[in-house]
Amino acid sequence: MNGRWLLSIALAAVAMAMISSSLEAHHGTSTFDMSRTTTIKGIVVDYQLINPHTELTIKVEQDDGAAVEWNVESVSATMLLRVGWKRDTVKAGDTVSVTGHPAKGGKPAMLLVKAVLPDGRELSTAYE
Amino acid sequence: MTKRLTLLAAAMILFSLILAPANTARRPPKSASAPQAAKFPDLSGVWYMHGKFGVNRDLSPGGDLPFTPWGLERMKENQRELNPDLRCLPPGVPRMWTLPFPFEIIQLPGRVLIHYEQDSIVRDIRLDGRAHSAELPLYTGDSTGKYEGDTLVVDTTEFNDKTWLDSAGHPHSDQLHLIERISRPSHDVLHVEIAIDDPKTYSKPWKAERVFDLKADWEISEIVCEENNTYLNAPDAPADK
Repeated sequence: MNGRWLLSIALAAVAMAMISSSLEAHHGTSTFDMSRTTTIKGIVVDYQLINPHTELTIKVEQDDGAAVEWNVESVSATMLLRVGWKRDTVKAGDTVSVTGHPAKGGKPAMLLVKAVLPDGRELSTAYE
Repeated sequence: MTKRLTLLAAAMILFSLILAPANTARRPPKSASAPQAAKFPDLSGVWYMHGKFGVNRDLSPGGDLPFTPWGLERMKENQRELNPDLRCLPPGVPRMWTLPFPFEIIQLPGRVLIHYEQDSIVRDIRLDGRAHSAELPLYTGDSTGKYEGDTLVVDTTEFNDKTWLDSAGHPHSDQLHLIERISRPSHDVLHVEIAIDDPKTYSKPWKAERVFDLKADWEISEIVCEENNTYLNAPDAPADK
């Protein structure tokens, strides 16, 4: 009986652990640390409002003067259009401030949470 | 030239006559669909998940499911493997209910169509009384339905085992028997009860439910998965994706 209980508890623990890790298992979000947010400010290099993942490339000048290109990934164009994003929301050369969940492992990439546009407007992602 | 056109027209008429019986055979019997056309609850509209995606993605009630040994092994495999929709494979059902994309319910006499924005998938639920049938197992299964009072009850079988039950990676087998009860408790709210019976994967049936909000000013758009999918051609993509 004790053995069965222990086995049940062990199986339940394994299942819970797997389910917790599986919470990360969706389109790309496992690449990012969803428990953290970071903000970068820089110049837009490229912006593609596209499905299934919108992409924004931003050149950020670091303290040492070197420039690093950040890839900002977001959700589908269809959903971003519903919360106010347009094809011309930003263009190459614009200065923007972007907040997002940073990539795991230190890569210069993030999953968009919100962006502050050159005119001061703030646009968020469509869902989290 | 005129003679050739006449011959072509004659050939087309001949072919249509030959094919006519086959098409007629596939058509639902009129008498079977007639009762459903009389009165049914209005479930039509564009709907979107209520609450955050992070809350809706996992169908398991409390995270504890009665896995069979096969199901538990499959769950482990799913954690190691790529999310199937990263390969642009159809998410299937019931996973569609856990995705952060809208869908439209279109009710017709004898049929209900659910048009999902994700991958532009259309689910065709027939209400004409015909039994389940599919030559091959399907990603979204073969769905029949009937109205019970204010509820549309959808019965789906004939699944393949290539999809996940939800966005948390819960597995299912080709023995999955899915029953969804779709109702509209108020004008702006859609309720879906999802009953999962899959004896190969779970030792007993279990249920989940989801709520959706009416999006009266939304229209279903198009998402082409292959257009900008970083992971589509990435055989060495990390296993935690």
